[in-house]
Amino acid sequence: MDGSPGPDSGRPVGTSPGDGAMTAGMDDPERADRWSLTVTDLRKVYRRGVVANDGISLRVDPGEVYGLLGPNGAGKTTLVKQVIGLLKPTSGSIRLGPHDLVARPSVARQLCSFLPQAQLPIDALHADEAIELTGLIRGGDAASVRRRTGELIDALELGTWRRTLGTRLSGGVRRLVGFAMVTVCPGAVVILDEPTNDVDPLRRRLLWDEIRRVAGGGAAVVLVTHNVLEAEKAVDRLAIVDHGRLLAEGTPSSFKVESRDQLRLHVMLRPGAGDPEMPPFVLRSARTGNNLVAVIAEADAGTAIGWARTLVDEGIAEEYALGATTLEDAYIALTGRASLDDVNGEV
Amino acid sequence: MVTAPLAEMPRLRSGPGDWLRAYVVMTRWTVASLRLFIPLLVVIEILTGVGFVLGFGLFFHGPAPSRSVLYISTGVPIITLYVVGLIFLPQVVAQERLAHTYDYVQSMAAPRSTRFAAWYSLNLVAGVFGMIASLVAASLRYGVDLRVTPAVVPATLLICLASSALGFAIGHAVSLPMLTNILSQVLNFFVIGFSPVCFPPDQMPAWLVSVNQGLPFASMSIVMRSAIGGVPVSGVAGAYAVLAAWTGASLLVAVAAVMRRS
Repeated sequence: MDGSPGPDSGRPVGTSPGDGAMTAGMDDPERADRWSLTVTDLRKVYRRGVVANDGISLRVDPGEVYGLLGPNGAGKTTLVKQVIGLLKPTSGSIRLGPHDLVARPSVARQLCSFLPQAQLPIDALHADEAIELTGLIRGGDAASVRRRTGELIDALELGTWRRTLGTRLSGGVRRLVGFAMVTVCPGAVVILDEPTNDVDPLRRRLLWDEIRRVAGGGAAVVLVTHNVLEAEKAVDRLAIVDHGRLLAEGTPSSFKVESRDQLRLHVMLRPGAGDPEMPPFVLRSARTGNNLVAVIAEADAGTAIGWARTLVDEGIAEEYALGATTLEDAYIALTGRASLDDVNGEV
Repeated sequence: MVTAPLAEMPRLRSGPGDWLRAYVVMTRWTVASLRLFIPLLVVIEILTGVGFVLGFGLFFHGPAPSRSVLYISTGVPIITLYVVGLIFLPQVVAQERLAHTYDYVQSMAAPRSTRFAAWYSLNLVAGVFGMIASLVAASLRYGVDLRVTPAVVPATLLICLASSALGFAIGHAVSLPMLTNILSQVLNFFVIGFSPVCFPPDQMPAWLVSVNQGLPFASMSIVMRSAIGGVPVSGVAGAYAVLAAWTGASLLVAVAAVMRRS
C-alpha cells in the first residue's frame, strides 16, 4: 500500500524549516543562524547514471536532532557523505554558516564529526585511547579531551572496557566507543549513521541521553536511521527520504496528524503464512517478515479485532495487537514499505 | 557532572603550527593502530635485513666475490627501507577498504598530508632499524669494508620518501584491494629479482637494464652504494634526480587520489 503525505503530514518539502524544534542550542537566534547546516537542491548522480540524491533541500539548526529516515538505498548515506566531503555533489550546495562545504571539503572535515555505518578502525587501540586520540585529532586540547573522555566513558557505562583493545570489544560496545570518539570533541555538525546498531536497549537510552547533550551543547545533530521507532522518540524533526528524494519533513507529531482518528493493527503472522486478503476497512498495510501492520479507522476497531481473531483461529496468525498509530504508519504511507526493524523493537 | 561538549565555535585550524600538532597526533594514531603488527614489522625488518644478507651468500659456492658482496651489502638496506612504505602501507589501505573503515579514515579532521607524513616517519624508523641490522649482518658475514658517509642521510631520507610516496599513491589510487595487494607484491618481486639492486646491472639483459633506467629502484641502489659502499659510483646526480622525479610524481598521484571525491 502506498500513499502520499497529506497537507498536515509533516512539513511540505521546499518550505522553510525550523519551526517546532526549539532546543537548548537554539536560544540565541544569531548563533543558530551562524551554525545552520543548509543543503539546497542537492543532486548526486553516480557514474553509471544512478540517481542517489535528486534535489534534496533541508536545513538543520544548532541544538537540533534531525532524523534522516528512509529504507536502505534511499540516498541517506550518499547525502551525509557529501556533507562530510567524501563525495562531490553533481549539483546543489551545502553550507555550514558562512562555509561552502562543497568547495572546501577540508573545512567540512574539521567542522563535521562523522560516525559512519561501519565500525571504526580501533582493533589495536584501547577504548579510552581511541576516544582521546580522536579528540586530539579533532583539535581539542589535551586536558579537555581527557576530561570529556572520562565523562563519556562514565555516561555510556564503558568503564569495564576502558583499557580493552578494540579487537576484544563486542559489536555494541565498539559502536559506543565509536560514538564517544565522534562526540568527544564534536564539530558544529555531528552526523551519526545508524549509531545504535548492535547496542543493547539499556545503553541505547544512555546513548540517546548523550546525543541530546551533544545537541544541547550547540551541535546540529544529523541522525541517519531506518529505524522508525528510534527516530520517533529521539529526533526534534525528521525527513523521510526515498529514491533520492525528500518526501516529507516535520516533527514526529506532525507526521501523525493525518492519522489521529486511526489505529494500527499489528498482526504477527505464523512463519510461512502467505499474505492474508485485506478486508475493505484496512486503509493501508505493509508486511515485513512475519509482521503485518494495518492502519484502520478508529470506528472499525471492533471489526478489525474480529478479523484478526479469525486469522489466529485459522492458524494464519499467532497474535495481534491494536494501538495508536505511530510514525511507522506515516512512513508506510509515504514509502509504501515498513521499517526494516522489528516493529516491537525498543529505542 | 557531565559538561556540555561544545561551548563555542570550533576554530578552523591552518598553518604550520596546527599542521605540526596534527602530524604528531596522527603519528600517535598510526603507531597505536599498528600496535598488533609492530612485532610483525620488527620480524619483517630483521628477516629482510639479516635474512637476505645471509641468504644471498648461499648463491655462491665458497666465498662470495667482492663485487657481489658490495652489491648485497648496499642493496639489502634498500629493501629494508622500502618494505614498510611500498609493500605494507598500500596493504593497510587496501585492508581499510575491505573493512569499510576507509571512509572514516578519510573523514578524519587532520590534514591528509599528516597521515602520509606519519607513515613516512614510521617507514623511516622501521627502515633504518632494518638497515642497521642488515649492515651489521653484512659486516659480520662477509667482513665487508663499508664506508658510511654523511650522504647516507639524504640517500636514506629520499629512498624512504620515494617508496612511501609510491606506496601511498598505489594504496589510494587503486580502489580494488585485491589489485593493490597484487601490485605491491609484484613490485617487491620485481625489485628483488629483476632490478640491479642486489646484483650489478651488467648481469642483466640489456633490455631489462633499459627498463630499470626509468624506474626508481636502480637509482636507489646507486645513491645508497655511493653513500656507504666506499667505492666510486657513477651517475649519482642523475640517480638523485630520477628518485626526486619519482617522489614528486608519486606525491602528485597520491594527492589526486586522496583528495578525489567521486
